[in-house]
Formats: sequence, structure tokens, C-alpha cells
Amino acid sequence: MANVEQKDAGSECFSDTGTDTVVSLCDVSKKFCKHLKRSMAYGVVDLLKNLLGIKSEFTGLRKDEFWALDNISFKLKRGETFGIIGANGSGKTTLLRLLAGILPPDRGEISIAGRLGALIAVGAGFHPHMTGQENIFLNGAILGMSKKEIHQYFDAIVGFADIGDFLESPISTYSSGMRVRLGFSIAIHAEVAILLVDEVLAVGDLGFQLKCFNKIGELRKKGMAAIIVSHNMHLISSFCDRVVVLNKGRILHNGSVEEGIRIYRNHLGFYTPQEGEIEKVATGCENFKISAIKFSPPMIDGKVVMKGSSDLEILITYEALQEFRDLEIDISMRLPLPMPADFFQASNKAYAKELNAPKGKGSLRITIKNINLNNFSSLLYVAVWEKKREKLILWWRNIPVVMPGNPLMSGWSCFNIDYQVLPEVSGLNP
Amino acid sequence: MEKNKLSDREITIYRPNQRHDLGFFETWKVMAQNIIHSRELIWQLFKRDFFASYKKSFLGITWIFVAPIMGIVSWVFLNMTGMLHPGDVGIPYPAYVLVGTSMWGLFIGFFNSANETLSAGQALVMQVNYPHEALLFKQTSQQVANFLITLVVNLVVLLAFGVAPSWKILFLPLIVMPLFFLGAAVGLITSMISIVAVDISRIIHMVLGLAMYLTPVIYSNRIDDSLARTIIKWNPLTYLVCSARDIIIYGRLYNTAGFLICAAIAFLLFMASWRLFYVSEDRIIERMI
Repeated sequence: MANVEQKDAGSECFSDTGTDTVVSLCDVSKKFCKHLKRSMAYGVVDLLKNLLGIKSEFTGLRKDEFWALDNISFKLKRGETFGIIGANGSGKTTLLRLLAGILPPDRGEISIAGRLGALIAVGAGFHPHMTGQENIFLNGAILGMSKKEIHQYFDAIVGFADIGDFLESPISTYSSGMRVRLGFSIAIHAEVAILLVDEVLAVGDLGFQLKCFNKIGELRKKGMAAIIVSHNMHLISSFCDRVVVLNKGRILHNGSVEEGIRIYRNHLGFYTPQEGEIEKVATGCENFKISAIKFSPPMIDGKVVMKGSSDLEILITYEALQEFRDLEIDISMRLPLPMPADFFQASNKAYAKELNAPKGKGSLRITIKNINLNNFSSLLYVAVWEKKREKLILWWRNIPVVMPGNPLMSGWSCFNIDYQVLPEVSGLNP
Repeated sequence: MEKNKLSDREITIYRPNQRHDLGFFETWKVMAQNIIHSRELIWQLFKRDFFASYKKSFLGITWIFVAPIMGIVSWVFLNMTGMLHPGDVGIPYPAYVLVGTSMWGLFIGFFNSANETLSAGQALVMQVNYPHEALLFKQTSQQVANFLITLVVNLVVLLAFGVAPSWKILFLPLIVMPLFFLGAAVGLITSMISIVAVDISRIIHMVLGLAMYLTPVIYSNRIDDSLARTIIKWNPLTYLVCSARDIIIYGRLYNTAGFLICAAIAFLLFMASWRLFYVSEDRIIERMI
């Protein structure tokens, strides 16, 4: 390795380190520059300084620089699985790159005991025209495996990847799933003491994911420590012994998983619309003036707070300056960003219900029956279209819905879906 | 790498300016160790980039011979039509210019290899931690492999023109070392600069393109113009490139004292540039994002 240096156990920062600690970060900071040309200029300055033998001291920030990571400290023990969660831009990827030794820290110190493997991008360096077999040796060498080691695990790698007869075929003939399986299989067979996993478990088919979980479980039992970065709270909660919550480069929480997920949710930075400020959040159209949107149960602090297994009613009062025919009301309930996924989606078309809004004042009532979601916070999207989606009349996104009585997370975030969308337009017969 | 398995606990520390704190000699030692540890990686990457590029062609590896043969054809043509008046070089002109330009090509190849050290691995650099200096040697071995093929073609051409190469050709590997040192010294620095300021590496590319005409490889050094003679005299590449050519054709160095001085300077430049590369590259690659 490039930066290998022997260090006695028991020196300053690691004085309380037991022999079990495999990763230790001590006040680690990393800064980046958000301005391209200036970033290039700083690069030239640093290079010139180094040319003259002057160390670049990185204690302060120059113009347009910011701390992507700010005073990060934590320890990881042998066999422990550690989750890192945070919104996009909170510094998770930077932290992984620092741990992997790809980028140096600007302050502080990182200490790693044993070989570290990073599942940041699987199949790094694969060449499309080389066969699977050739690529195993290539990728293995890139990951720092010796030839002997690759030979030793060759059959296991091929078996695990399950690429069958394609071993002698060029990688370009593989499906994307096969490529990922092969890359993952090589990486997981490089004997590492610490494994960094960056959201890659979400790839591959279900059977392969299961194999990966089992493999990681097996390695953990042998004492491998793992750091998992994911937006999937279910995965984090079921895998991790501990979590760190990052927010704008700082640690908000280091400890229990349950508490960490709660803090993460509260810092996601949702825009929380208040009832009565519709023009700010909903996109309307000039001939369809929306005067109010009311929820039942009502909003509290910008969130729709519900009891489990109850109905949600949305009442939209409007004034139509012309007649709108054949309305389509599209409702979806989603996981919050950055991992949007629909829990369900429905429109009145699905129920073969035709709706027309006559000229004049009226109201539109949408009822979603019997919703039962976890308490992590789901987002409700409401869209109203005219005539086969020719014109969007209303679009309100990201309305948080919480159910304090339910568990914080369970499954992908919901259970027991039973719903109906029952829109009615008052003042007109469909 | 075999040693840091699960069981033993080799400790890796990352801290700011870590590489800067290494002594000069220590840097070279660490880099040399990294290269030795990365033999397998260098070989695998070499295989990937050297052979895999021909996999989609029907002629395959035969293409390697096409470039030098085309080179000969064009010089023979230029000479036959009398477009060039190179002055007396003692041997048939196409043979002279062919060997000379091959040596020039080798120097440029060494420069390009080093210059592409970081950009060739750009996709990998942000994904995996591995010693980047390994890329310099992988790139260089590709150049050497290409050169060896060119050399074989050159020797065949020399014999065809009735010129028997000197037995001192055996010293060629030693004589071309300074070309590597100088090419790599400049290339490693431009490799880093081109990440933060593309302008400078473009300028160097242009200067090197011009430099071939300021080095007596396509004409003899016995030209009349005094300015040209002065430039040739002070151009270090004259001594390095022409010595590599002359050892094959005439069995001697172009100018022994000049060669030794330039070789020593090239070596020192290379060591300094290598150190600078090691100290700075991790600061520079974060600008790649």
C-alpha cells in the first residue's frame, strides 16, 4: 500500500484503543472547493508549494472552500457492523473515500488495522473485450489480491458469481446483472478485515442479494468489520450494530440504530408546507384557481399526522373559470428522497370513474382508505390533470405523512396496503 | 500484500501531508517498493491495454507492424522524389532517418506514458486505492513493447539498405535509459499539471512537437545555418536521441561528454520529479472529482 506506516499501539490518539479496534478516526476533516476554476488554481498553488518543498498547511478555509467532513471521530471494532446514514451531500461518499485511502484527510488521522476492501464501485477496471476469466485476474490485481490468492479462490469466485458457461466469453456479452455479480464476487473473496459497502447491495436479482447477505454474515462471524452506507433504513436497521448520522459533514449521532434513524428523519430537510400556503407549494393553472386544500386528519407542523389503518381525506376547493372535462386525479405515496420508491399509486381512471368540473366554484374530495404506514415519514403526491394529461391543473408534491403510533421502520416502510381513491366533484354528476 | 490478512494487524495510517514528511531517499524507496509489490497489477493492466485493444480487429496484433512500415514507406518516398536535401549522413538517408525518428518516437513515447499516468487510470483512481506509480510503469512497458517491434522492423530495413548494425547495439538498453528519465521527468509533472491546468500540458505538447525539428534526427548535424547549429548544440535531446541512433548505425555515441552530462541531468530531474509526483499526486487527484 502507498501509505503504509507502522505505528505502535497505544500512541496519543489511539491510547484507549483496545486490540479489537480495526478502524479509528480522530478529528478527521476534509475540505473541497465548490468553484471549478478556483479549485484548479488552488491545485496549481499546492503543486508549486510542493515543488519548492513547502508543506501545504490545511488548517483554514480559502475562498469558496467548505468542509465536506468536519471533525469526524469514531471507532470500529472487529466483527462490528456500522451504518453511515445521511442525506445526499452529507459527506458519506467522501468519508468512504477517505477510509479507502483514495483521498487524504486535511486534518486529523485515520488508522486502519488490516486489509480494507471497498465495494464502492464493483468491477473496477473490467475490460469489455476480455473474458470473464481474464477479468477476474485483472480486477483481483486491482483490488490488491496476489496471483496465488486469486488462484486459490478462483473456483469460489466463479461459483458465487454463477456466470456458468460465460466464463470464457468476453464481458461485453454479459448482462449487466452478471457483470455486477462477477465484480461483487471478486471483491467479497479478497480476504479483508474491513469491508466498505456503498449501496451496492441494492443490485443484482433477489437470489443473488440473498447470497450476498449470507456471505457478508459469514464473514462478520469470522470477525470482519463492515461499514454500510445505505438509504435503505430497513437494511441499516437489520444489519448494523451502530450508526453514525452525518449532516453537512458533521456527526449528528453516533450510537443506537433506532435513535440514529429517528435523527436522520428529522434532519432530512423536507419542505414542510403549511395548510393555507397553497400558492407556494402547489403548481396550478390560470383557469383553475385553487382556494384551499384541507386534510383530514389535519396537518400539524406541516405534516399530516394519522393513526394507523385510518382514512386520509384531501379536500380541494377551487374556482374554475372555464369547464374542465375528463379530470384525472393521480395520487402516489412514496418513500422520501434520496431513495424515492412508490408504495402505491392510483388514479380515478383505474376505477373507471369519469370526472368533470363545471365552470364556477366547487370542491374535489379525494379519499384514500385504510392507510397503514410506518412512522419514518412517507410523502404524498397529488396531481390533477385534464383530458388524458394534456394539462396539469394541480401538482402538490412532498406532503409528509407520519403515523406516530406505528414503528419507525418496517420493511421498505409500509405494511398492509388497502386503499381507494374516491374523488368527487361537487356540483356535477359524473 | 499477502501479509495484511485478517489475522495479522498491519496498521495503515492516513494523515495530512503524510508523504511530505518522508525524506527524499525514503520516498524513492517507498515508490520502488510499491512498484515491486504491484508487479502483478502492472502485468494485468499491461495485458488489458496492450492486447485487448487488438481483440476486435481481424488482423489483430499484426497492426503493430503496420505503423513502422508505413513510416519507412513515407521516408523512402520523400527521399526518392528528392524533396529532402538532408546532407551527407554516410549511410542511405531513409535508413538514417528511420532509426533517428524511432529513437525520437521512443522519447515521446516515454513522455506520453508518464503524462498519461494519472489520466489513464482516471476512472480507477476515484474508485480503488492502489499505487498510482504502477501506472507509469505499465504505460512505459507498453511503449517499450511497441518500440521493440519497431526496432525489429528497423533492423530489417537497415540490412535491406546494406547497413550492418554495430554489435554495440547490445548497449542500447543502457543508452535509452536517459531518454526514459527525461521523458518521465517531464511527463510526470505534466500528468499532474494537466489535471489542474490543461493549458500548460498543451504548451509542452506543442514545444515537443517542434523540438523534433531542433534535433538532428531528420537531417544531419552538418548544416550551414549557424543559429540552427547553436540550437542543436544546446539541445540536450541532440545528445540523448542521437546517441541512441548512432550506437546502432555507427557503433559510437553522438558525443560522449555531452551524452554523459545530459544523462546525469536527466537522472537527477527524474528523481526530483518522481518525488514531487509522490508528494503531490494525492492532493491533485482530489481535483479530478
